[in-house]
Amino acid sequence: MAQMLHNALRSLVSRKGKWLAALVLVVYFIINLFPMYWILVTSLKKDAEVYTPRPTFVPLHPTLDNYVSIYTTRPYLKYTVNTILISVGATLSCVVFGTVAAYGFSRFRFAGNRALRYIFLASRVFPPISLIIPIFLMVGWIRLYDTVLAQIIVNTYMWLPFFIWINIGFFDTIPRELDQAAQIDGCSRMQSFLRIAFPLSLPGVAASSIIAFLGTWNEFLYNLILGPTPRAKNLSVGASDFIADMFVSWNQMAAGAIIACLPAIVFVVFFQRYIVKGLTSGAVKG
Amino acid sequence: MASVSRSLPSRASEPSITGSGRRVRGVAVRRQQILKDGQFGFLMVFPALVLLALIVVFPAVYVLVLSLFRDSRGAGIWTGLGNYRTILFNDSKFWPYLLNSMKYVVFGVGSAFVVGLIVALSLNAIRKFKGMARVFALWAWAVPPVIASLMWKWLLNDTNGAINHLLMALRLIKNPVAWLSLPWGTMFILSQVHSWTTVPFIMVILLAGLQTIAPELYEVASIDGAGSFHKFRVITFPLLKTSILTSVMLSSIFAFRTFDIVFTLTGGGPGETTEMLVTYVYNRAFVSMKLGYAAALSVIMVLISMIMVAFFVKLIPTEDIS
Repeated sequence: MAQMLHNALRSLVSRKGKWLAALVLVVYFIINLFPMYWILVTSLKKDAEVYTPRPTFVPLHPTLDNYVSIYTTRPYLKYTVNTILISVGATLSCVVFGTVAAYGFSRFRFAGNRALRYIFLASRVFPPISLIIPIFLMVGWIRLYDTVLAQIIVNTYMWLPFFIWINIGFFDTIPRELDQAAQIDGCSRMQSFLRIAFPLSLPGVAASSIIAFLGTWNEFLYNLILGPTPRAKNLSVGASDFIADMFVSWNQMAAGAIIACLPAIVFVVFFQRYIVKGLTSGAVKG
Repeated sequence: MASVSRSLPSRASEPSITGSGRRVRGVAVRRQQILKDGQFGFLMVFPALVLLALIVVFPAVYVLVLSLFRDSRGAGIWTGLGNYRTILFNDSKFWPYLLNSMKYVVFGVGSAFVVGLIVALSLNAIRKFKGMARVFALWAWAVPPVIASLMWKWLLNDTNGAINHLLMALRLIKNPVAWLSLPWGTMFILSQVHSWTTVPFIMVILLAGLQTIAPELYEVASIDGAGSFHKFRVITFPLLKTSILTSVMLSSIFAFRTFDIVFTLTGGGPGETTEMLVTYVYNRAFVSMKLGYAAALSVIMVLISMIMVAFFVKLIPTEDIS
């Protein structure tokens, strides 16, 4: 009996750390997820339930009116299409330019290889706002002001250096012998990249693409300045328009916020592993 | 590095016996390599390089040039370092705004680091529900910062915000508080919203660092009778140093440049208590249209970012820099 009690006590003591950890996590998750829950609930409420002295934690009369209303009374369809085009466009150009460049850096020796890598890395030190004046003027010169194309170009600039840098790391982990074997079998250097190294580095490409995609999807400053009208406006700036109104419609804003969060939800739930991989390798190398 | 593949052309010119017939014919076409390996590698890098030159190098030079001109109607007038002199010595806003930027970075990253470390240690300690826990923990990172800011703006709303309702229900406050119009303290609240978006990033990097620490080290320490705080101080902290410094460095330079959160949450208010360098550049350039002056402020922001990076890189143990 005494022995049993002793064992129980000991296991409890050794588990104490785990219980504390679980408690910390629960508290953190509440802080982390409650704002999202609250915005979701708000987006499903009618005005009367939003502007009340007694807020409800579960909507009494859930409705999708707010979602319908932002798509019918505001150019939300245009914002959504723009955001998808910009994010897909910028991510694709990062993949095309970025993987080719990263492979070139990783596999071949040429004058300035190391220096150029660090120039790419150093370009991340520039705060985006510090280049916005020249880019604003340049976009005007080439008449791309207020276009989706300009948004794709500036977002590529923001993510390409990151993309190249972490993919150099991923290519370095793929054994060179595989490329060389392919070349002995008669592949050209480009083919051994496309058929061997690129497919093998797909997990790395996926990790960096997801981060570049979400980063572009979430971009605010350049969209605000270079895309002032619905022609190029994205969901982030679109959602912030609500608070500029005389009377802020919080439940409609909430609906817009939920729409803007959809890819974040999908990627975090289904591709969490890739995001962690991309963030850690980017940080460790960067 | 490329020495093996350099010897390839001669070998590849012989028809391959292992390949299929189609492949052999392919070899005959691709036999001669016009470019040396180094040239080929440079060619692969070249398109990205052109892009970088056009959208980073040229604008960087251009902003530097612009910063040397005074703003006037029509063509700018050369003023040399005049704008910089005005900013540093005759601008009553620059230093307070710089101080606000620093407060934002220190409060925002500071608390994000403390919370991120505690969450990372906790995630490292649990055995069950690991995947789900990480999904939840990562959440705030993926939310668009603007949306995070709007969410908190709604939560902190003075008349209908959930936080005021909650605090009044708990009888902690009697009347609703206008959290975003406090004469003091709004800066801190703003930085904590930033912190909310940054915790997952720091947590992920610290967790990756924690997972590289061998559990045997802790076992040995336990045998030696070390308490958990002692173990943290002697094992975890030193081995985590690089992860800590990189995560804090990156999140500090990101916090310094963050525009969307302050722009939507407080817009620099109340008064000018949350105006920072980012909002100052924005206002000078796109509200009062002083491009030259704003360009000089931009250059100063780049220099401050560089100083921040240099400061942290100095602290990181050299053997860990790849």
